[in-house]
Amino acid sequence: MPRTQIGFPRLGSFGVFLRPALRTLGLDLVLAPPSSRRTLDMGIKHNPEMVCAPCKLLFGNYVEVLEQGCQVLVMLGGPGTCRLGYSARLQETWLQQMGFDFQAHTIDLGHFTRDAIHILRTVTSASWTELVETVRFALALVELVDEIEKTTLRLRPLEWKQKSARGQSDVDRLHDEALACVEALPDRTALGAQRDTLLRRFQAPPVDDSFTPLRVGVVGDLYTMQEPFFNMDMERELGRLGVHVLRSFWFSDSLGNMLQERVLHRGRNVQRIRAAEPYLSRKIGGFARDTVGDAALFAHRGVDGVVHLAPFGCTPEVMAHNALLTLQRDCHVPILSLSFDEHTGRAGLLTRLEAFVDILERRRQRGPGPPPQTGWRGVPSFPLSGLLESLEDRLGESVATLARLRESEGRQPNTGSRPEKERP
Amino acid sequence: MSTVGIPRALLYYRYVPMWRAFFQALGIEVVVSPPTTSQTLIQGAARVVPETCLPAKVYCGHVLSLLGRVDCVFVPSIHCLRPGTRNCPTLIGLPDLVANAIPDAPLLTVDVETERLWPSLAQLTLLLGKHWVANPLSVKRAVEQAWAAHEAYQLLLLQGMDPPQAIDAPRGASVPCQGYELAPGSLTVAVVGHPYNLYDDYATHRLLARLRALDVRVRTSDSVHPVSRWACVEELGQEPYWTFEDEIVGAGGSLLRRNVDGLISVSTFGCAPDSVMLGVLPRVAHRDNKPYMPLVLDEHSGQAGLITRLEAFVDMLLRRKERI
Repeated sequence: MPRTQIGFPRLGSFGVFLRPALRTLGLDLVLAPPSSRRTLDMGIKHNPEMVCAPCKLLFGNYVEVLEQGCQVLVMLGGPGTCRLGYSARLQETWLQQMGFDFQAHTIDLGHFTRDAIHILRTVTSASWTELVETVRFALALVELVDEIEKTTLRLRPLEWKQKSARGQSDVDRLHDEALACVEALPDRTALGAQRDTLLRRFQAPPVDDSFTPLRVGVVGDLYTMQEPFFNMDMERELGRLGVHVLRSFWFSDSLGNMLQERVLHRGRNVQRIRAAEPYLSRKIGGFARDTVGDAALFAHRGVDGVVHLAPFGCTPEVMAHNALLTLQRDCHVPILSLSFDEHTGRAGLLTRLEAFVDILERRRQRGPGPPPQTGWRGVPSFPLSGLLESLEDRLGESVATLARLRESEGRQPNTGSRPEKERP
Repeated sequence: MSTVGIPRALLYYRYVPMWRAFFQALGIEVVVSPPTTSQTLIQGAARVVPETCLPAKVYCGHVLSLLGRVDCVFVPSIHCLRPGTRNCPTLIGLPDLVANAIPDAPLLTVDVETERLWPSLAQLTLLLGKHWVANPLSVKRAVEQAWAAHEAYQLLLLQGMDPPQAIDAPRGASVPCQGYELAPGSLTVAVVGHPYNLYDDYATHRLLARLRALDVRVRTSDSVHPVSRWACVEELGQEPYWTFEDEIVGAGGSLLRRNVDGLISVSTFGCAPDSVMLGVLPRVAHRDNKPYMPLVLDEHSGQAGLITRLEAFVDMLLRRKERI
């Protein structure tokens, strides 16, 4: 009997831990090939024009997965009010109209573990003990993958400092090799055995101790943060600019600690919601509240800056952006908001990132002084009034000198105002 | 006596008779902001990020125009009105948006979430009424009057009156029978969209009036009973997802089946629910073999382009009708 194939769209390093976990249940993961121009074109062709770019990219992923002939397709739906939830249903019917024969399941990104277990229960006949073992394996894998990514993000700026040239990056190569090793792991015992050797391969390049890279937090929509094709590999670019990128979303945070959250009411998610309270108190859907909460948490941790990523036209993120303006004013943390669509150019993004990093470096060199005086909405106010006054003084002086000169020449002094006409 | 301000934007067109009757029954003066002007939009748009949708910018402008004239501005947050559906993030987070955009605005907020058992609508109104009246019975009376006003308003809408007239109509008004005076061969066009997109004369460049000037009979989403709108949503094979899905998908679907010659949908640029819902309408129109024109508005849309498209659409409908 052929093994069941489960198709899954691209979402950063998602496939790395899903593949070994599903293999223990006798399922094959068919991961969409890395997103490309073709993926996007496919989505643009079949979706309404104004739908957000992640919807289109995901649709392209689904098509490319189904072309490989899998029977079960996992579709992503957004948490709460996100149009992903609605478009997933529409896309399912469109895919069927395109002639694909498949069984579709939707995963709510807000309840990943719950929905994943539900899907596994319907797809396989595995017993609960097997399922529990798979979930434990998956969680261990997620933790390891996140550990590898964290190390990579920490080492990238150090490597940049040491090499200070854009060449072949050792850290990136090690990162890819490590993820390939993780993907080949057969079970939990092997993982335990290899874990330390995998992590030990990353060695910090020798850098003088005085160098502490800038720390920049990344917040925003999950898909935009995770998918390198869509965000133009922004994390790597920031790393190359000498920035230690801090992610706000880790799969290990959001998958494992349901007990902690629901019962003990602790954990990262609860912290986020509490931190977002003054700026966005309602659950408006999408990742808006997480975005605001994470940005506030980053600000409390004293990062140098925050980058906010969103797909163009994402309503929850627009609401979050409005809240971030207030937060920026209150917490004195620079926030760069970037929105991506299918036309985003790479050069424009790089320029903006470089400018942002420059600002952060200057800000740090200025040292911990009083926060700069800000005008309305955190826009640094130019001391315009002072400048105008000094200009007026100078002008006044020169006008007075002119007048004196002209008087000495025997002409009418010109004071700037029109001489009144004599009445007849 | 205290005063409450109601911005003439977003859900104003759906619920203002109800809100007004409620507040007036509690002895509170209600001030409605003046109709949208270019200044309203410019001032509102200056306070929020550019990507925010047009109706939300207009809303902020209206809140700004009420400041200083009222004790507080009524900004409700509507989470969902029908079990299983969700509302647009902007409408849920409206108080948050206004608080972020206009920090000094005094807001009166209520969170309507009918999906949960608590708080029920009765409790919500009690909480709201408690700001002014201690006696729950008088709040109950106010609620009854508010509901009566809402039902009278709905009746006027179903008779074909436009919300701006129906809102100001005196009690017991009715609509004279219409439709028979139309010349044979004249057109009927269905115009679907959210009320705040259809009836804001500034934002839509007087779309409905322009259509009527072209001798077209207009049927809007509001002239279809909500029950048949929702029935149509479900008939199209979709579980209801958005709270106001009936205004677009339901109304469009059920109007297409009636005696209309064409369908126009009005939405704003960047509206997330509309962007996916509008993926359904062309397919329905294609199935029923009726012409369909989507209109997308933003703060830059010029009048000339809109007029040209309307005239071309109406011309096309007329030729089509002659041919058949």
